[in-house]
Amino acid sequence: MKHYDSKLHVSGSAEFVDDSPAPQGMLHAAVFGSPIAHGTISALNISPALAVTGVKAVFSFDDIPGDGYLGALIQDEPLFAHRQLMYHGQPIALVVAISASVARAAAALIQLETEPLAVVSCPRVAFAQGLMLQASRIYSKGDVEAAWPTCSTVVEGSVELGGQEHLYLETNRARAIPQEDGRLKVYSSTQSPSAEQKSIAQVLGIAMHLVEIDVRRIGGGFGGKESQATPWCCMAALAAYRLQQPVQLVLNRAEDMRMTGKRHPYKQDYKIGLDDHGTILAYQVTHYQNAGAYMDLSAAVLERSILHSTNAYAIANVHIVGTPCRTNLPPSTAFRGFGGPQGMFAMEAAIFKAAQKMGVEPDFIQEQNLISDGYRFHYGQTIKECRMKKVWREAKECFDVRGAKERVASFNAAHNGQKKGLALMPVCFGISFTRTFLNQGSCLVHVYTDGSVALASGGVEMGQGISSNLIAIAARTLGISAKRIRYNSTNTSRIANISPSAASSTTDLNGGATIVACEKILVGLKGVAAKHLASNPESISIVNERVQVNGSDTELGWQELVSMTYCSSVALMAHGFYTSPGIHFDNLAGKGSPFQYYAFGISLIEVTVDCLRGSYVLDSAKVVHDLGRPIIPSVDLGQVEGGLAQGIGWVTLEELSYDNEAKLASNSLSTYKVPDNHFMPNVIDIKFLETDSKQSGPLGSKAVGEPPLMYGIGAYFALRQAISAFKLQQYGDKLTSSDISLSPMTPERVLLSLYPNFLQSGGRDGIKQNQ
Amino acid sequence: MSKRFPIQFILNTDLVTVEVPPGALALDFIRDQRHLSGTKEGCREGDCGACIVLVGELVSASVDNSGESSLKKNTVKSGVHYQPMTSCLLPVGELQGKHLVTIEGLRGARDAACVDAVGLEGVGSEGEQLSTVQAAMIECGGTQCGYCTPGFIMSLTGWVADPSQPLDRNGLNQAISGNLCRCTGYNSIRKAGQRIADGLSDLVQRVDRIKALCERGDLPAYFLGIDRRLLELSQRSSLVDSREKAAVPITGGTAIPIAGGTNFFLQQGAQAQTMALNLIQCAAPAAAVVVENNWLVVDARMSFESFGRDPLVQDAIPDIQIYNKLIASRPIRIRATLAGNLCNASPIGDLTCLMLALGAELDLVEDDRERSLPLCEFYLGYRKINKTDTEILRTIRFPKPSINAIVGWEKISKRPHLDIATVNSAVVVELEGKRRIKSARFAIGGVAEIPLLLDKTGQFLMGKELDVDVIFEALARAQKEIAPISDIRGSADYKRLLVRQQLLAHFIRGFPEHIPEDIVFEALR
Repeated sequence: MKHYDSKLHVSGSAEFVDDSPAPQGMLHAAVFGSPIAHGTISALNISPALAVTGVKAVFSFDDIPGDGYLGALIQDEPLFAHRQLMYHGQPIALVVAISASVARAAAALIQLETEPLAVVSCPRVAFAQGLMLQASRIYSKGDVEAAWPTCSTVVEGSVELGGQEHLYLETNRARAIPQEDGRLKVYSSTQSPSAEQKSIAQVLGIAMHLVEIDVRRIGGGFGGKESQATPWCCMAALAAYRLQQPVQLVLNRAEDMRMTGKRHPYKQDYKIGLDDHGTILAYQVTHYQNAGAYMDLSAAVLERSILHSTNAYAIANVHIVGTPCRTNLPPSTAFRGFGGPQGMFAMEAAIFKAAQKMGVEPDFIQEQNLISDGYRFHYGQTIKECRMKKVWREAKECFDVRGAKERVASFNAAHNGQKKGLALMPVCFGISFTRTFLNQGSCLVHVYTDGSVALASGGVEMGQGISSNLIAIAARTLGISAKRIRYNSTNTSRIANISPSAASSTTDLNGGATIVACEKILVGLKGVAAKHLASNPESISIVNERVQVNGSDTELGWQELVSMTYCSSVALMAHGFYTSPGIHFDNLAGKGSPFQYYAFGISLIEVTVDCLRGSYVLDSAKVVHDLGRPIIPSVDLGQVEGGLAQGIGWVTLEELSYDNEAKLASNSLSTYKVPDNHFMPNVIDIKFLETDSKQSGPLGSKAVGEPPLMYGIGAYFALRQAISAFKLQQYGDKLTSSDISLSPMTPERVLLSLYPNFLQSGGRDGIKQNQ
Repeated sequence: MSKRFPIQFILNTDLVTVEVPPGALALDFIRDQRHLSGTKEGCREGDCGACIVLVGELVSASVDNSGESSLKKNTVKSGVHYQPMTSCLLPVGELQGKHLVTIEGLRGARDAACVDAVGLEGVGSEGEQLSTVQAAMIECGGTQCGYCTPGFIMSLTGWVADPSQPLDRNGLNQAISGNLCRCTGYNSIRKAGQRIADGLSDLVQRVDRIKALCERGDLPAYFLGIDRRLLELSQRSSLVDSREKAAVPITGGTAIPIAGGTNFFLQQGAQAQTMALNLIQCAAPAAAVVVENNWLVVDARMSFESFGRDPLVQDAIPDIQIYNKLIASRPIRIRATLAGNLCNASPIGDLTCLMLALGAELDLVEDDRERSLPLCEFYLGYRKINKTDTEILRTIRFPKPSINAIVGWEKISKRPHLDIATVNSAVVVELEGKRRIKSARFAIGGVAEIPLLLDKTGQFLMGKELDVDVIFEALARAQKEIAPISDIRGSADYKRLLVRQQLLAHFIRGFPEHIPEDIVFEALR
């Protein structure tokens, strides 16, 4: 079986929000955003926009009939800026007109007077000024202060991690259509249909049952449409509700890039202590999270950074501090990995630096400290079914790590102007929402009298293959061909209180629910079959669409059984509900067992740096990933390869630049660069470790959405290795690596690192990086 | 409001007659006017490829021994040549007499029975009719969210339908050089490309790939009749005749000449609808290169792609294709022109630097007035050029580099492909005797308000004996001629460093015996 939607994709018939024919009289909206990053509104004059021919209405904060404040964790963000302007591009008003181009042209005429305030874009500055969205969280284990004196090597350093634009190819969009009886139907590109339903109801001051959100598929989300699709659908809904006409809002690329939040930039200080054998005795890290202007999901993202701050390593003494710092950037938000990548990066930077100090390879320290069964993390969870050492061994053998290192060394000895580097990146990533209550899934299974089956669940199809996975799960559970099964759009009228499609858990939760629902129907089917075949239900099974008694085929087929069941007045539809077992977590205390299980894997990335030009090529990326039992191997493979590419992009090319006034300078695809086909390694080799796990998702599968992103971090350290090799050749021990690890490692950073003497004036004028 | 154009072309199967402003963009026409929603908008910058369509035009096809066909428009009308273009930067005005193919135009390639043979159990709805390209993308897991997919399908279909493109990894890389996918990481799409190349390997033998693809069921049968329909269309349309027969672009009036417009429509796509534009690419005769007195004379409307493939250009600049492939993407190079590149006056300038280093001269025309000037006098300041708004750059002439000269081109951008240069540079250095420098011309982009010719550095080197010390002295002089600023492409420091490194790279590559790499790295310590 392949990706269920792919046939529609390749023929161009897969519909996205604005692809369906427009309803009669549909209007189009455009957003007027703040021209400054921080200040107050002294006057807003919308009349020039209203005067434009074709403009129907302009809405701002005062036009909101209900509660105008949104937010996934706390409701601190106004739908339209109200007096205060907190980031550049913050929505202030919505212009509704007969076409999007008229609406945009009119929005540009809106007059705004502001009183600018000082802009803060650096989380350290924000922290120093007391601009925090929540008090610092401290997680401790053992006693780092007591441990430092016992270490033979102690190094300290800092890290500056850039954010990351999601760059889903489909920008944010929603189409809201008024219905009878004060209802609204909204087609939206969102990962969180129920959050949108709730937000719209709240903004309009109406009950949730009057709002129906429908999501057929979304053109990429990656976390960017978990909380931040909500404002746009609320705006379309507000306009449609007020005007009682269909309204569509489609952000163009530049609007989407400047108005929506991105992966959190972090600044970090670390300290690591090791003994002579390379055992890490103590690790301390402070995370200054750049949360942007409002809370959004920042506290939850930070929590995962803290939980994953020791990545895959067993460390006796750990001290982690994390603070979400308020700045004047758009609210930073979920992005595949959800804080995990930032937590792990600092750990790897610390190991890299410690290895340099000790004169060993980083993977010596990595291997020395890998976790195994029984290790208790700093948040209290004890790891079981740990495969970290197994994937490490597997990678070493499959990919001949020793041979690769020798090749790199001999290449470097033979080439003055080119240097290779390689890095291993182990990943241990916890699966489950850390807000434990979110770990719930629902599925509605309909078996129709012709034997065809329809599924509806809370899982949003965003390319990750949830529809295919659930179809495969239902097919296997019911014992029928996947051809009989269709996946319906994700709709709040079919499924209530949907958890976001996020946290890698969508298949786990909704797939679990699919099994529950299918099994309920099977009870009915088997009862009818048993009666008909004069057997008992326990001996009945359905295999390949045929009813079996004690494993032997009977005359009775699926379709006949379904008709029979219907005529016996037995239910052919069922709702399944599923929650992850055995998890609990006290978010305030930071203690508990938040994860149902862990995903394990490791990458080996090799690069070649052109030391004359500072440009580089990624030679290969190899991965061993513990997949449990795959549901659809090609879908899982796609998740690993895609996550890897995004992770590589994050630490290499993807550089968000802001000007001094915190206005996004890299606001287009011509200035913000994601990996293209040429950039990705020529050799991409993914090996799945198929394992049987007691702790897993449906049918023995393991979540695969987020963990692979962190494999890409290896590209950063491989580049650092190559740079070090060149600097050793050129400068000997004179110039060691800097105390600050800056990511992404753009060709600019590479070249400037290769020739540190060239920098006389130092620093940039005008463009600040990685706020 | 600008004057509307009456335009006739074939959209998929249908003859379309429309009146549009010349700046109306094909993407909007396709989606909003024709409600063909398979073509997606991703960026409106030509940077993602989600909106790629195929544009077919009548050509005569002949194949030389190398298997590369040279295609000339409209001399003998014997076939339709399809090329991928980003519809977000393509004015409808240029579609006169052409065949515009969207993803919907690929439907009906093959009956459902064949699809089953490909073995696509449990995928999507039944009854869809899929080509080898589409089936391979499914089989190899080349789609995830599906938003970029129609663009990839069009690029891949354009690849297999174009006899000038090799059905191998290099051909694939070029084919999808303008497509971004955020979901897959491309590996599955590469596998699909391999599968397509394997599945269609017999096409390599065929000159007429369109016919072959139709016979195989990989294109709908209606493609077979397109050449005849386009021929009829061109014979019917008096408008086309008058424009086509013009050996030079029509000048006059107040309309702004647009040659390709890959930058213009990116910058001003929203306003372009209301502007008076003179689309000089529209129904233009074959742009070409001739050699006169050892100078190459280039029709300025020539696209990057056809310039790079011209045998006379390749003879003069053997590495031109290597340089070309670092510029934008294939769909953009198919549309972007030399005239557009030079007149756009970007300080970075891509081929502009090469032309500056080659010592190019320009012929400008307006009504019946003509004038010529050296390219190095064309740039007056930031995006200011020695040309009136309505004057047209007709030809670019440059001397064929001497056999004793090296021609080099370097480009560094954040992403090696599909990106704008931070710094690019071109050099033409001619030696006399073993190592005496007869002349040296350096042109550098991205370090001043204009594409910069390093006069003083060049003069310094003239007559010098080539060695590492002299080069380092030249590098120091080059630093005094440039004035880079920090911007989104990089810091001023970085650009200065890049200038040094690129100039070194030119000499190391051009004169490895005189400027050996090892000595350079020693000197850099």
